[in-house]
Amino acid sequence: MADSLLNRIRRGFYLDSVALMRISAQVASLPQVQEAALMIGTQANKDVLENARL
Amino acid sequence: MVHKLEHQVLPDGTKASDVIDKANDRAIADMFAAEPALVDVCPAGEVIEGLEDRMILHAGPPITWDRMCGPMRGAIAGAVVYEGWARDLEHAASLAASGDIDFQPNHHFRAVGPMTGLTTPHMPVMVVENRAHGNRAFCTLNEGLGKVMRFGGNDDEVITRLRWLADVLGPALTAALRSCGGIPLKNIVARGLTMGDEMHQRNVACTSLFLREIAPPLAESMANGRDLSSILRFIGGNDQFFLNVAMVMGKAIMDPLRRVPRSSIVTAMCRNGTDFAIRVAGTDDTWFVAPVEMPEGLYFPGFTERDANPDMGDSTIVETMGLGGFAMAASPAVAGFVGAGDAADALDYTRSMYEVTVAQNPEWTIPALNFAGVPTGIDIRRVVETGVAPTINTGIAHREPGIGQVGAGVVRAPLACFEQALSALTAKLAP
Repeated sequence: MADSLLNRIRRGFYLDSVALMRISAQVASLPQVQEAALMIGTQANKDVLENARL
Repeated sequence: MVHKLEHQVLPDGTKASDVIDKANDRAIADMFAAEPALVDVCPAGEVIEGLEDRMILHAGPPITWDRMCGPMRGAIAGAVVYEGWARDLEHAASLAASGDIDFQPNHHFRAVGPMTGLTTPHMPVMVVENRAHGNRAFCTLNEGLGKVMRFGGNDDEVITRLRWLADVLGPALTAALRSCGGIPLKNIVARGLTMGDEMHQRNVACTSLFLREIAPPLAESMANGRDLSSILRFIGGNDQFFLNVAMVMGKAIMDPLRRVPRSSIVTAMCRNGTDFAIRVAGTDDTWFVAPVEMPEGLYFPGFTERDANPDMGDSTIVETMGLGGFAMAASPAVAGFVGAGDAADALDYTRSMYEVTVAQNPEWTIPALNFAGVPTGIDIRRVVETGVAPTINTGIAHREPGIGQVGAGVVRAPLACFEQALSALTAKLAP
């Protein structure tokens, strides 16, 4: 089965950055998930997502 | 563990523990009397006495090039290019390895720096004056987040940003601070603690409060509206801007305690990515050194703990004055880096730090702990007795140079530093 990339944007929604990192780690550990990231859409975070090819 | 000092009677008949307690009272009084104010920004070479050409100040205790970690070497190569001592990173690394650069700890020059913590002659540094004791301390301006020199970044983007700090932000802050007579800092910290900051990993409230203070003097002293907006955007967009301010404030508060005879209070904690070191008031400027530990934390996408560099930076000056990991109860979310990460764990971290400190700071209080003051004055006797090592909140750099931040987490100070220090203090008191 080919790899796929899913992106979803929620506008105006804020959650604490550490909470987001914890959720990301939990999602990333699900079977068949290679990598996951939940981040507030700052420029710095967008750069991180780009570096991670997400 | 019961140690010698607990029962030691000195030649003059006094109990060692009483003598130390009294010295500690004096040290804590000096801490609480501090009046730190941000008064200036200047090129480091102009204001740091002894900082010469071809000298680089770094975080942590003294270290040679061959023992430095990846991000420290990467940052140094970048700094050498920034200063114009080599034309590219490859030549910079050769120069650094050759012995022609003098590497010195920030702490030996009244300075501190976060993570790699590099301070070089043409970098602008903030100047904090402790108006109660007259001493000054220095720290660079916070570059921002991600791929920056403090995390080992060294490419053109990093160097260009450093030049902007020196050419635009630095001089603008100089004019603003000189015109407004300086900004007192303790009250900003006091408010930030009630707003979710702990001044190590969380500085967004204090950065915002600071921006409110500095924006009018900046606007009044700047003719160029474009530069003004880029400066406001830079500070306003950097949640960690106040980290460096908190650090230089900490250095200014703790330096007067460096020589309080017979005191067991820790005056500095710092790391260079390889070694962790502490200083104690009653043993002057002696460093007590042990290997750094690995943080436990969470990582950005694409990175894991296998990519992590061990603990690094002078930012533990923040914990040394009762903030950061010691004030985690003020920032419950930070507990999320470790284990189950319940908000309640954050309260427990702070509560455990009361076990190893001698006082509560009446000016810096935490609402969630019923306004208890932050745990202040790390007593090496208590650390060794309880086996409870100081808790530190920290960023995590990639172990390879040139990459940058990969995560954040919690780490402990090595107990060995405190054991060594206690032996030395004991020997000094009763030779």
